[in-house]
Amino acid sequence: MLEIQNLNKSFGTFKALNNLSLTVKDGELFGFVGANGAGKTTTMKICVGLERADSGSVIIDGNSVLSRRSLSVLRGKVGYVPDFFGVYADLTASEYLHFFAGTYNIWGKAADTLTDNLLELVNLSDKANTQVDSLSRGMKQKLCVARALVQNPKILFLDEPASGLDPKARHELKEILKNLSSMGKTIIISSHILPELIEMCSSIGIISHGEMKFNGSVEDALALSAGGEYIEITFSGDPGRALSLIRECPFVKTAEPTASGITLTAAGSDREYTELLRKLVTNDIPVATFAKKHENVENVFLNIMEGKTNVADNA
Amino acid sequence: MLPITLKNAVLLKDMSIKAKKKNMAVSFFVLNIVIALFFLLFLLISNVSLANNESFDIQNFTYVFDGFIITISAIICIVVPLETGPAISNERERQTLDVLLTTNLSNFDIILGKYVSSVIYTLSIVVSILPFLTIVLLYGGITLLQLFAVLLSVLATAMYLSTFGIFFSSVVRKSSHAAAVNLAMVFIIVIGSMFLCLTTKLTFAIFNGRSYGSFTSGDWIYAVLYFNPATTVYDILDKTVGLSMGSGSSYKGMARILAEISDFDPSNFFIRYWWIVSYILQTAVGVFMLKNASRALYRVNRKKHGKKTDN
Repeated sequence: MLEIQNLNKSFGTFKALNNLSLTVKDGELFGFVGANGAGKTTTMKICVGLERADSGSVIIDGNSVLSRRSLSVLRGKVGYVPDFFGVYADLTASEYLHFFAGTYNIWGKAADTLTDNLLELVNLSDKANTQVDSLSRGMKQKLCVARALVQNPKILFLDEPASGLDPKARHELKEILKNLSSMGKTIIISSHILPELIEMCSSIGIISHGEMKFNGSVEDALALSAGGEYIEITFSGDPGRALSLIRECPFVKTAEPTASGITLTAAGSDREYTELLRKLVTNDIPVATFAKKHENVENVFLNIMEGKTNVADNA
Repeated sequence: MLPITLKNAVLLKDMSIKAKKKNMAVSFFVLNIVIALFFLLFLLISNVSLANNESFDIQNFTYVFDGFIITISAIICIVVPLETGPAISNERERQTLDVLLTTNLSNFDIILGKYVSSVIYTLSIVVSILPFLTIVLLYGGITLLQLFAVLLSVLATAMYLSTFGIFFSSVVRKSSHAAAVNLAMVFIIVIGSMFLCLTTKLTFAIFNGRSYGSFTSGDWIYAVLYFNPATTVYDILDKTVGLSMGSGSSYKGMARILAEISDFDPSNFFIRYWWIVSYILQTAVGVFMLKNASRALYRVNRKKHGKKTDN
């Protein structure tokens, strides 16, 4: 559905996108992850025709976004929700959707039906005659999603849609997006809140400094976190020579003292970890806790973004 | 069923928003009260004169009408820039322009919607004062045709100045700045063009050691007045209703003025039919401004994003 190849974009001396390539399959719910300034918004703006790329190609449903003629065809296939509301405070929710229906030349009864259906889809039917200004942030965001669906697009770009929303509104938005995904829409959603994307996306792309660091399934991304396993040992008294005992073990890669005890990374089996614990206890080391932990998902992505984790095959 | 010309989503949206705004109703109310008081006062003075068996000249009504049209034109010169200034820049400030640019609407559709909505707003002002103007018809001195000719010239002025407003609104990012630039532009077009003629003629006179009135070099500078809508309204007003100013020349309108201050032949088509030439040129300028506003829409928006680093 979406294929981006070697996309480059600079703003003056600032290189926003650097040979960015990315593929999103038909019907996928794709999470676009990156820190602020990574290039997510620029990529999305190029995809919807609001920015022009310096070089590279963007193909959506077989049409090149960079060609003017194709772009006009794509207008009807692409929905876009920017990272701001972009609503008219003086209109009611229903008038707002009617207006955007008009921009796609949908008038009269067809527009009425469409507006009713969209408001129902985003659970805002009871707010049809409410001024947009008096809607909550969550409701405004849902209205924006409804607006982006006016032309029944095949692909939907949502730029940080959950930003600034309370947990309830986030949950509702997530449900709406899952619902849209089940309807066969291809959805590209950007965020810097990773666990949120992991929960609902089928695949993700990680971007850092305009470069694609990872592009693959959520399972593949999570598999990377398996390598981020470590053991945390805390002590009820003086750890004595615990550190040297740990470092003697052949499967231990690193062992560093921390404020609470010792943290070590190792490539051992559970049995070898049991042996290590036994060794410590038989040497009268006052072990309080011995726990195998996985690195936090956020940290794994942070490592990918910073290039500390090798994801060369997926990028 | 909407007529095709009105099937512009931006136009319908803007009209809907404007209709809801309280300040629009208040400004119309204030304007109508002022005009009503003006006419009441005039009628009162006329009636008192009649009651005292003083002479009552019907021509006074035409002078009142002239003064009234000039005042309305001046009001439009202020209202139009303030009205059109925020047209596009407001969308940009509200961050709705990006969304609009991703819809099926072309840039020109957006510009046209904004333009027509501004013109309709001005038209509604003109229409709202029509009942007062019928008093002039009631007392005579002006025909219905003359009345409409003059009102259309006022509307044409608004349409012309609106194109500048829309253009500056699409190139200037902030609404307040756009309104200020628009006001300055209207001032330049209306007052500045006259000042330019005066200074150019004086410069020619000084360099040639002759007085302003007698020296005819540099008459070409008067061509800039074709772009000044005040000269067009004056031309039509003098040719239809008649103005008290000027000599007893057989020519009227701009032909009469130019016959006095330049070496131009007032019977020349371009001078005699000043308003026709003027409208043709102003329409061309208007179309040019709207076309460029449409081009600027995308370019300025991209520039704005280009400055953003939080992407």
